[in-house]
Amino acid sequence: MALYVVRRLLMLVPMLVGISLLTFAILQVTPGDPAVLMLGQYATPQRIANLREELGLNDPLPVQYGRYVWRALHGDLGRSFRSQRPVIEEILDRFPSTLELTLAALLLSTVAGVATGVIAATVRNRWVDGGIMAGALVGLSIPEFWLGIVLLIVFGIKLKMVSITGGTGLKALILPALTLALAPAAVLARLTRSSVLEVIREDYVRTAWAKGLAGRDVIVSHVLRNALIPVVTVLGLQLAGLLGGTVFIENVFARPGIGRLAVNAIAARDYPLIQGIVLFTAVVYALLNLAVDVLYGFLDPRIRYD
Amino acid sequence: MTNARQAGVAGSQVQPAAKRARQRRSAWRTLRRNPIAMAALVGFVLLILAVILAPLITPIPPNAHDYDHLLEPPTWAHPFGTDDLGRDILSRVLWGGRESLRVAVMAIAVAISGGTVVGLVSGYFGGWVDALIMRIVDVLLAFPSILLLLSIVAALGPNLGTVLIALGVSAIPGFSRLVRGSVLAAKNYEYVTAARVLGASDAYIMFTQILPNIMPPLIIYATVGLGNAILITAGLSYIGLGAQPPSPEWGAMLNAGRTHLRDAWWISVFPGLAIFLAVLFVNLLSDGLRDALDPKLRQ
Amino acid sequence: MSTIPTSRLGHQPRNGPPGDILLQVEDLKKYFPVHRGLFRRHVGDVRAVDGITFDVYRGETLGLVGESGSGKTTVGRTILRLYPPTAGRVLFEGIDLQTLSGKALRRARRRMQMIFQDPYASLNPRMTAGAIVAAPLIIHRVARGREVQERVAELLQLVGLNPGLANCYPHEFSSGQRQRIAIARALALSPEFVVCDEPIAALDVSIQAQVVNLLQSLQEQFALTYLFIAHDLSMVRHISDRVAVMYLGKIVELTDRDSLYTSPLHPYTQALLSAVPIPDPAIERNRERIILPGETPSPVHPPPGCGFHPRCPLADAPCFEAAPEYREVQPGHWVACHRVP
Repeated sequence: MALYVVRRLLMLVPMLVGISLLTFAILQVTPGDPAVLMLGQYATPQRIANLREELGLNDPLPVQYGRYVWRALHGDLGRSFRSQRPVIEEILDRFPSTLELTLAALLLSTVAGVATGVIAATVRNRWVDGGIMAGALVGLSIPEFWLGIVLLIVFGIKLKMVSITGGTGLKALILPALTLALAPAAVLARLTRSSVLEVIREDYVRTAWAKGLAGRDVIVSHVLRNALIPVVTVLGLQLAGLLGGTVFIENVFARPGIGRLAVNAIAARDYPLIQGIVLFTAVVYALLNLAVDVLYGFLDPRIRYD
Repeated sequence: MTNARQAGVAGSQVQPAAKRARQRRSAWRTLRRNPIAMAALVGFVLLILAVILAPLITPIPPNAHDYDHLLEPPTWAHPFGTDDLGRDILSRVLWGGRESLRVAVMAIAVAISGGTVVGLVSGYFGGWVDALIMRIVDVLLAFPSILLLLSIVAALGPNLGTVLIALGVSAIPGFSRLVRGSVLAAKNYEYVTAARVLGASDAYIMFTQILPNIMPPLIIYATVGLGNAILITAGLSYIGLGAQPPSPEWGAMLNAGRTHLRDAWWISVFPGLAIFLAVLFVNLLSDGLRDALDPKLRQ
Repeated sequence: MSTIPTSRLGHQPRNGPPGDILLQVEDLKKYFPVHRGLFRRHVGDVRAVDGITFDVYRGETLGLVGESGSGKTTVGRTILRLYPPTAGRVLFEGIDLQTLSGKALRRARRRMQMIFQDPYASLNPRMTAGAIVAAPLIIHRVARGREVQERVAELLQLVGLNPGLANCYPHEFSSGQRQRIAIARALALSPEFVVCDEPIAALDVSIQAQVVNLLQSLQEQFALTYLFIAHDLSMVRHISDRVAVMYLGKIVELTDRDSLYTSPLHPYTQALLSAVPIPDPAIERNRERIILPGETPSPVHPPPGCGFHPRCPLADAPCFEAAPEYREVQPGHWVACHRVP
């Protein structure tokens, strides 16, 4: 098990190399001189030249990349062009808000998705099943940022139940988390339903019924434990979807998170900040994914660690 | 052989068109018997037609300002209302669909072509080429695609063309892996060996023997991707990273409507509804295609 | 199977003088590497073909017999260069096929074709019978437009299929008809040499004879040379001029058909022959069956010495130590066994 964790950690290395190359490349392919971007177009050539020297922009690319990686490994992601603050500080200021939203939505979508999926598969009523599946399809197709807007109009403006200008605390979290959770909940409901239906047909479940076990016991002890394996498998994928969703949702609900920071950074061409956000988010995602995989290993004894 | 003349006539009818039609017939028949999928297909085709024929449906240009009718709720003259510049929302939704749908469709086309070439080369030739390509694909699939998407948008600058490239490129790894997996299975079929014995070139084998057999999963994956691409195109425009004002692109319209959430809900509701319907039709069609093309996945 | 057409008697190939060699296989080896572990370490080889030598005469049918896993299919495929050989040479009319590439290889492929075992797997399910037979013509650009259609109709007729069925898909045919389509495809380029890889093994017994007869009449018509692969001796008896028996990647015995069936020298051939039913109840009841103990060893770890010794009823000291030499004990009769004088 420890060996497995070590090996999974080692597998992160190529991914980190890839993501660092990608973020490094952002600045290389973008048109224009970073020094000019930082100082503005009215800066004197002398100042620009000085800054170029200071930033090491005159060095060969591999040297620049090496320095970039070296600094990133020490937590130094550069300074924001706009605020002149260290990028890492900007990110860490905003990170709790995004984490809170993502985890709340993960919890909501998992509970709601699995519950509706199990109900759709086990309740012997085609209207319930059909209704849940139709709802899931709507959930998959609805643009989350638009859903957020509609919810804001209804609950913020018409019913005046929540503030429409952001805010903090649990109350401000409800609408964004609900909005963000809808699509992943729909994916999970569909997956859970088909997975449960598959397991119900297995021989060991038939045996359990034949033994005369009560319906609920069979579902809980025999069906769910096995049907939920694919559900756990897609947790990582769900997390990726949620992180993508925060980019849109944080903007709808004016939440001070990393997604909103990223959008503002791109609009302002604040490249060190963009690079930092992409790198940071990828690392956080990779670590969360690793945690999910290790957890999964504990849950499913069939996983082999070689 | 009983009737040589008849046989001769029939023998000369080996036409590619007839051949292709026959192949698809059974999947098509299954799809046609699925009323929901057919309704979705009709709906999507109507939506495309409405968008293409926008000038015939509504006489008002999408960017025509009418300062006598600002922020009007839906009326007979303006069925979807007007915005803060007096522009007709219906016209803008129809014209905006051209942008949104075109970008999404073209992005998927980029992803399919790129993914098919990469996946075919990787799966067919194998060896170190395959190992190298798949390592890169693994890395790209290992982090959320939104990061790749935002990186490309950041590097190339926010506009609709960038969104097209970013969406297409960031979907290539997924398509590559799908195609490669199917090619790995298909290249060991005996009839592929038979083609090699005949002296067929690698290109002939890839495009005539392998590619037609990997189409079903590719089509299913492409429709799923299309729904997603429509959502992301609009989403990026909504947060200001895609189409820029005064474009009537659906997401850009939602963005423009943000300041009037309090007094003019119609500016935000109708473009969103259009996105929702387009994606819903595509997803329904995708489910239907999955049932028709891949009976194994059927529940 | 006891009634053999008179024209097939004798081991003289009917077409061309004896000694006119079309194909030479010299010490051919084909190993498939076995990899294991994270870094795909090379841990061993499957010795599918482990040094075999034989000639194929123009116009003859050489039967190649062995159990599954003996490497007989790999021999056929390596000859056609579907696999690169690990060692050894294959000469077609004196030209080393390994030296050919690109255009020259494609040209050589026109002269050597293959008929596969499973006519369900070897025909592309998404192509019509007509398109399948037309493929070789189009690949090598030997016909175009109407010519293609005419040639396809001709070929289908040749193998006994109604050319009117050219628009049908493989799944609409019976297995015998499918194999006929595969034969028509193999003949489209007028090859000289055809590897028949167990072409009747997947067919119903009632259809096997029809396909064998078709292959024979096509051989006479077009002076074809066959390498006919099969997994038991009864299948090749009818069609072969000479027969080679393979065991564990090696040829253990090769001779003309009559010598092999009447006076086999290698104990493995004798055992195989004893398993062939004889269509005479009196003899069948009294004949002695040789049952070999054990199973064919793994070609990854072949036994030392003679590969057959763990199962051989005659095995003796030398068999455990050295691989027997493959030698010509009588003119045209080759055998690899220490115990054969």
